[in-house]
Amino acid sequence: MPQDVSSLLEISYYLAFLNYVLGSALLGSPIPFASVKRLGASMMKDSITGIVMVTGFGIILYIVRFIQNLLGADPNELIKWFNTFFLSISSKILFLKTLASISNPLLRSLIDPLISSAISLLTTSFISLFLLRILYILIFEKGGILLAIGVLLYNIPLGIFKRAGSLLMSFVIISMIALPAMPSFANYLFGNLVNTSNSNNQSQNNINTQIVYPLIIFKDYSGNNLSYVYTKFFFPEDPNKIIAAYPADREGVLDTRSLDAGLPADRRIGFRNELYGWAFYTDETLYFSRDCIYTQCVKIIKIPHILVSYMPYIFVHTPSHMLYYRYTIYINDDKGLISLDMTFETKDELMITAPSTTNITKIIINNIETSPITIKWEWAGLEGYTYKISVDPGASFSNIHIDIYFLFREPPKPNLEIIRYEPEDQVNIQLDQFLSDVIMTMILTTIFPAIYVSLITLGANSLSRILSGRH
Amino acid sequence: MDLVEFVRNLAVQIMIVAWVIFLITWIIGWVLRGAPIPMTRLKKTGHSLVEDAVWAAFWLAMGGTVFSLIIFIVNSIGSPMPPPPTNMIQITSTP
Repeated sequence: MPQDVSSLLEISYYLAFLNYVLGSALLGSPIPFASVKRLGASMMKDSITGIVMVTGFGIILYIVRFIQNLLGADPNELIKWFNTFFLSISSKILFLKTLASISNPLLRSLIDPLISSAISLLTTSFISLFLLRILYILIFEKGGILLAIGVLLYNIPLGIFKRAGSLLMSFVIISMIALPAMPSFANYLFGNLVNTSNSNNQSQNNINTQIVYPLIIFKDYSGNNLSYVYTKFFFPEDPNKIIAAYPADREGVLDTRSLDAGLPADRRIGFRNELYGWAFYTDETLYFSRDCIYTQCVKIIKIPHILVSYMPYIFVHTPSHMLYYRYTIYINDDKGLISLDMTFETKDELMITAPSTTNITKIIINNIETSPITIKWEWAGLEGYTYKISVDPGASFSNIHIDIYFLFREPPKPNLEIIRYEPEDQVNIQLDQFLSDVIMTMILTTIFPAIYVSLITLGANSLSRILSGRH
Repeated sequence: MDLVEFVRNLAVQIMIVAWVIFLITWIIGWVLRGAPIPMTRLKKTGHSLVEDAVWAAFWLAMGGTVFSLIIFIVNSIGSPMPPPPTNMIQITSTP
């Protein structure tokens, strides 16, 4: 089969000639019926029109381009339009999927029907946009071939496919002229919604309701992982209202996705940590951007107050920072030794916290065995002791060496309550705005193009009537 | 066989057939006109057959000229898009 335009036109040329010869044969045939003679004459006329089309193919394309320029329609604008909507629809669908992950049953019963209808609307928009994209490719990348096929069909003898050929030609010509003008028509009819529906302002409104599922790893100052750290999250503007509280696992990893416990995206979040009866405060805030919706972000939080740890058995912490410290940990089966060399500037306290399954046998400071002050704590179904050592650099030493000997067993898992982040008040505010946006997208990508394409078809039909000579 | 070749050969063959048909029509027309049947309708039919045959033969003979004229006019308006087959005129002028 001939593929390129010029060979199609060559065939059309000979078909037109064949049509002419057949028409004259019919005209000159000894059949005494007027209808046959009329058919012959009309075939000769058609072949002349067909020859004009074949030879004027370049002129037709030139005229189409001329009118395109006259209307100021740019096919690239249409591509931009498609891309804008593809992006907007996919981000909306993603947003709805995120919304669907909310686990509050009351809220779910309210928003579930809305989500499903919005998703079906968006899917329809997506499909119609896809079809429009295919139409665009057909018209602008295969338009020449389609036009040539139309000419060929028109020139098939006896006028069998004359109507089909003229319809195809008219459709291609009208679409080539009218399709690139669609975005500007849409803008004219619906205001500049095409751009605003994807503007930053709009998407920022939606972001607040979106949830991210980051992976957070807790470490002490020396870089060891901290088991069972309980983290309470709050917005910095209201530190008393806890929006979420999640425990880390035994490895010191808080995988919010596996807990189905998200955090708000694109907002600063404050946090404080709890571990074995102690709370650790920080000025540090967390921030997870919207990118974390698509990829799991990993955040490492160092708790600087905890100097060194062998979790979940023991950790050493202090209210303030050291000038200098160095540590070593020796572990032998269930026996352990933590050695610390440190330099203090001012009088300070050093605390050793362990659950009751860990038995601290000896604490030796600068080769002198010490009996520290013991504080009992209870936390999340666990209990244990904190041993407090006072160090005073002014009195006898600024450099101290501490050895902590301990025996340990696995402590039970702390029973920590999970408070999940629920962005419900924001959802209610944004949902109506979002839904109207969805419906607008539906109108702009499905209903409006459907009307537009049917108008194109109507115009093509009229043009084909002119081309095929039936008025 | 090439499609273009096929269509061209078909056109040429039909052209030959068409010439034969004109001849037959022309003969039949004169036969009807000259027949000793006293019916004016028959004579009119014969006359119209002769007339049609002459016109059809004229247009067929003029075919190449008509086509090349159209090609000339259209090409002088715009730039030539496909190069028109040059051996076309040779075929039409040899019935």
